[in-house]
Amino acid sequence: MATQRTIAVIGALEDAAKTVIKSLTKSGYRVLLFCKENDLSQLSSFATEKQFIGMDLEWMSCPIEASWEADMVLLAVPAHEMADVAAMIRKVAIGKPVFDIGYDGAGSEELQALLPHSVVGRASADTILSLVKPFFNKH
Amino acid sequence: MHELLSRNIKQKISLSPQQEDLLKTFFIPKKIRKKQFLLQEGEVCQYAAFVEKGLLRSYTIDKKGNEHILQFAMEDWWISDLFSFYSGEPSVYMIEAMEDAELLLIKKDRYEDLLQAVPAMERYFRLLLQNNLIATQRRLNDKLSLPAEELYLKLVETCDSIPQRVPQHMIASFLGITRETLSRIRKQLSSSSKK
Repeated sequence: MATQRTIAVIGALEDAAKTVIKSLTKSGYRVLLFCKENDLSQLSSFATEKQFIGMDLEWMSCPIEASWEADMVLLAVPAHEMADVAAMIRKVAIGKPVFDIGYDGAGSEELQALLPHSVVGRASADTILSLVKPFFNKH
Repeated sequence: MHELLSRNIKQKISLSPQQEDLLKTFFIPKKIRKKQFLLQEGEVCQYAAFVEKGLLRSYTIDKKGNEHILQFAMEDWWISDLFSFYSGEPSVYMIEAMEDAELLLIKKDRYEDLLQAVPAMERYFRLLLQNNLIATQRRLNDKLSLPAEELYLKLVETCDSIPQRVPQHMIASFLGITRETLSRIRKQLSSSSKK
C-alpha cells in the first residue's frame, strides 16, 4: 500500500480547478480546497456534492494550513492575486511542487521568483494527472 | 515553525544567522494528521523527519499480523528508516502519526545539498547518528539483560511523557512484552508506590 498524497487546490471554485479536483479525487488523492473567504459557503456546497461522497476531500478556511498539510499545491489564482497568495504560502511551500493551473495565472519565471524555494510549473486540467503521478513516483 | 530544530542544531554546532536562514530552505514543512502515514512498507523512505510537534511511531508487522514498534518520536526527535533513506532500498517499516503532527522533512538529495551548503551540518548529523547508535546498543543490551519491570522503568525514566501519550498495548509492543505483563507491572508499581 502506498502512502496517500495530499494536494491543496487554492482557488478551488475556478472552473479549471473544479475539473482538476474531480480527476484527483477519483484517482485516490486526498484533496484540500481553499477559496476566498466570501465564497466559502459556495465551496462547502461544492465539496459536499454527491459526486464527492466517499472521496477524500476537505475544504479549508486557510490557504496556509491547506498548503502546509499538502505534498503538492495547485494554484488557480488570477495573475493579479498571485503575489499575495504566494506571500501567504511561501514558508509552508518550501521544497514542495507548486503548479499554476489557472487560465490566467502567472508565468513560470514569475511564479518561481515569488516562490524561490518551491518547485514551480504550469499544468492544465487535461495534463494534471499525467504530471502528478510521475512526479510523486520520482519524489 | 523551525524553533525546535534550530534549538536542537544549536545544541550541537554553531551556525551564523545567514547559515540558519539558509538551512530553513532545505526543510519541507509538513503537517500530518493522526493515523496518517509518512512511510509505508515497500516504499523507499524519501525523508528524514524532525518532529516540531506531535508524536509518531515506526513499526513493522510480522507474518502473524503482530505489530512491533521500533521507535516513538515526539517533539525534538528525528524519525526515519535510515537504511532505506541512505540505500534507496524499499523499507520494511511504517511510520505513522499517533497525534496530529508538524514535521520538517529533508529529502535525500536535499540532505546532500545541505551538507555541501552548510558543511557544519556534517558534524550535526554525525553526532545524531552517533547518539542514535549508542541508544540502539543500550536498548538492545537492556532488552537482552533486564527484566520487563526494569525495561518499563527505564522507558518512564528516559521519556516520561510516553506513558501518558501512548496506549498501553503500544508500550508493550515497544518493550517486546505482552499487554498482560505490562498491566501486571503497572499494577505492582502502583501498589508499591501507595505503600
